[in-house]
Amino acid sequence: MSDKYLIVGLGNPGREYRLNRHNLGFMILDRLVEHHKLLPFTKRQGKALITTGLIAGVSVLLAKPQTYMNLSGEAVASLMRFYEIPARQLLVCCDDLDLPVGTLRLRPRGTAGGQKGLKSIVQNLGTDLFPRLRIGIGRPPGQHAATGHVLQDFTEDELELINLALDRAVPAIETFLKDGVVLAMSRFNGPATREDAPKSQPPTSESEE
Amino acid sequence: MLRLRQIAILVLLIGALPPVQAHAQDQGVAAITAPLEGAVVSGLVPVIGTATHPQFQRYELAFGYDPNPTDTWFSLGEPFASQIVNEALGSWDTTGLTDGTYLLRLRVYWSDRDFLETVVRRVRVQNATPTAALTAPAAEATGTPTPPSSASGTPAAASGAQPVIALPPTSTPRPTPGPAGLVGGSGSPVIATRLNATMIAAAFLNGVRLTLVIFALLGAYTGLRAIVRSRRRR
Repeated sequence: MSDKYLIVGLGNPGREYRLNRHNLGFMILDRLVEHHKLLPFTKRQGKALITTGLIAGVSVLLAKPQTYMNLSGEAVASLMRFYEIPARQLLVCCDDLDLPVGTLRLRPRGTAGGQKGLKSIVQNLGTDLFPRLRIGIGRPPGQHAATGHVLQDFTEDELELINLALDRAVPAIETFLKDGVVLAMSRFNGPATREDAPKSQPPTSESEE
Repeated sequence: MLRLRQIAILVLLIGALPPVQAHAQDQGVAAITAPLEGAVVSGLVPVIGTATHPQFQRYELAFGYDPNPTDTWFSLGEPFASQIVNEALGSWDTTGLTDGTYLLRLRVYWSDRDFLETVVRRVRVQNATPTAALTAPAAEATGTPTPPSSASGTPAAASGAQPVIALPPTSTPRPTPGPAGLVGGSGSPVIATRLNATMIAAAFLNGVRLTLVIFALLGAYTGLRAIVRSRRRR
């Protein structure tokens, strides 16, 4: 058994889907890579783009399945077999229609809850005993179809909340790796707030090339 | 009266010196001269420019998607500890990136939190389709997943998607060229051509700058000689 953790972000491959609500899992991983200055996702292994590094002193493999959402489980199962990673050392990051926009929810296990990527992973692994980090994207108003909703880009207003949620997701994942899922749940589950925004100094001058 | 005019000419001549020089000494510079906005790049891309500041600490290169509403940036290697004037700042390995437009950012730090920043927009990455995807036998290619049409929230794989070859996982890492070398380990002829073109452009700019400086110095010399002569006449 490996002591490596596998962190998977769910989304659809292709630039046209990059800012879709359904690609929130990819966005979480991108924010994690940025924060820890890891190499970007340029290496392909099996059916996923991967990168590796140390986060909170833990060796991690980050993966973005390139199979389209509803076949994500194939890429995840393949990586877990190859690296001999047990299900408890898997963290799946994805969007959730049933949570309000920007709300973060970490769980040690659970059903797929209608998320096709999670469903595929459960099917391929044969277990739902793996942690998952979900960020809410909200349901579409009225009777609009969920499919269209998840394949649309975030609105400007939503992006503000999503950015805060992404900032909150980074320490949540660090805590998960360092102290376990229970402590991370108690600290980070809930809506994103302005306190989650990183306190960085604006540039003193900016020139556009 | 004549002397005043000559002094004014001198001041003007000194002012005509290349502005970058003065700017670099007084405030610091964060500038990328290649690739520029709208450039089409592929493979290993040398990033050329200037990163200087009187209290220079380090500079960092990063790229992001364009547009970038989540303000997410991917660093190009470790921070660089030495100042650079119109030379290679680092290199950007675009192999493996999805074709499309990207942002390229340079930050020059003069304290832990204070920095100068410049962003080059709309840099188009256009790498050739991987050979494996084109030459793979049809039998292997049938492994390409085609999501069922009933899949909610999953776009059809056939719509503009590149063929994906189901390769077994391999632990062999792809060498990632370091930022220090311009050409790096790739040695691709395409990259060499790009490097030459960029270097030629940089050399041309240097030549223009040098010419301006020489003209300014000649002007100053002529002005001073005129002042001296007018004094002698008196």
